[in-house]
Amino acid sequence: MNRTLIALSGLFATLPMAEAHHAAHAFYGGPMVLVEGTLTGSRLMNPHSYFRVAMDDGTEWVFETAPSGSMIRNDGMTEEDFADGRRVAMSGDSNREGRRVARVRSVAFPGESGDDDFELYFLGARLSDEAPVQDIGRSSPRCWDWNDTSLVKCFRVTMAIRSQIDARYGDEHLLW
Amino acid sequence: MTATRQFTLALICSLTPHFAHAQLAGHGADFTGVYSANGRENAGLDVPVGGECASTPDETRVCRTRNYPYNELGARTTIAAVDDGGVDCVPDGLVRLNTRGLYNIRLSHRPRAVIIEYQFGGVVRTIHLNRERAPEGTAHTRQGYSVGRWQGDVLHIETTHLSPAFFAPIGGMEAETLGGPTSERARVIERWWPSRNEGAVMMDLVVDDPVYYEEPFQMLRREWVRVPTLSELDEWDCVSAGDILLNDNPDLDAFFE
Repeated sequence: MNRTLIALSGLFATLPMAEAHHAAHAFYGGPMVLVEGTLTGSRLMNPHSYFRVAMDDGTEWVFETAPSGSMIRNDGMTEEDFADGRRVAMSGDSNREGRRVARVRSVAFPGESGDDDFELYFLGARLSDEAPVQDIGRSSPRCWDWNDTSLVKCFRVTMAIRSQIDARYGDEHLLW
Repeated sequence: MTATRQFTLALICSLTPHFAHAQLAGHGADFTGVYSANGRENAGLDVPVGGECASTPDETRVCRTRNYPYNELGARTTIAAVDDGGVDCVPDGLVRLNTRGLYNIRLSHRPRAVIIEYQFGGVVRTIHLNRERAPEGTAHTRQGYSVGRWQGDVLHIETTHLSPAFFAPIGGMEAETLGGPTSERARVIERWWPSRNEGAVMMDLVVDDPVYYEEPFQMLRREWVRVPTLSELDEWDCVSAGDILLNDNPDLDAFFE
């Protein structure tokens, strides 16, 4: 993960999110964004959770999850997963009025071996049958057992998988 | 209630659940447990899961609520989406509470009641099995007063004495408004019954409100899947996030302190 990208994407525009607590379509509905930076704050709370990400140029973004903090914990994540200082790439639907706030779809954390592999989470997004999520799913061992009702889906993305996805979809997937 | 309205309600209620023993009298099923929604709301019903959504040329995604049978007043009674109190931890009304598919519920039985607890909002509902209607003088509240009866394994619940509220449709909301209104005269009919999938419970929810709607309508069908690893719901510790979402210059340091 060595690039910072904020871009439009149509690829995930049709992915249905789990239903929102407040009027998400009214508040979000802006362009899909991918923000790479450093976590500078996190709150796993109800009714939604929030993450603060500082990009390398100092720009700050806030990401909101659809699932509550309790549900995220139930699916295996804790505050430690979102510790300050962790490098992260988050994608999501941005605020339609241009505020730097977005609804999280995916979170990518560098793995133990640095940039060569990483863990990719989907927080609240119901994964469609469309690529590249299914491409990753077919080729990547899941981080833990999850089922259809899990709101947090976890994948381990190796360098080989990443290269395949990047070659096939270019920048459009906006996942890392 | 007009004859037409009564007929429509009877028709909706006759459609589900559609297995024979539902019509037999009995003590009911054992629903005890913590449940999570399976995420396939309204499956098998002729009811769209959400609103119709489309991207405009400037990539703004716009969704429209599906067409509930609003009457003239209902069609022009709206609440601005940005005024949604939910983000500031204002509790839901009954209809909206039941649309919260991201949050677990717990069902338990008492001798003369069924208890439905919702993780969302920490709401606890008592479904009174020993009454046919709410007592005289019952106050109108967000969750109203619920009476229930068993027909075989099907629990029928009727809730009245609700306070005015809004609900947001499953999966899709209008771009600028929150969704459908309900009045103090609203009745909410629920049916809960064992799913064909072991360990799961089905739920139907019908709204009947002559103030805003021409006829009763089915708002929701949902399958709740038992979570065998859980026996309790997490505590609800709602924190208002309106400041960081709605302010142009939010105090992020304070919020994330």
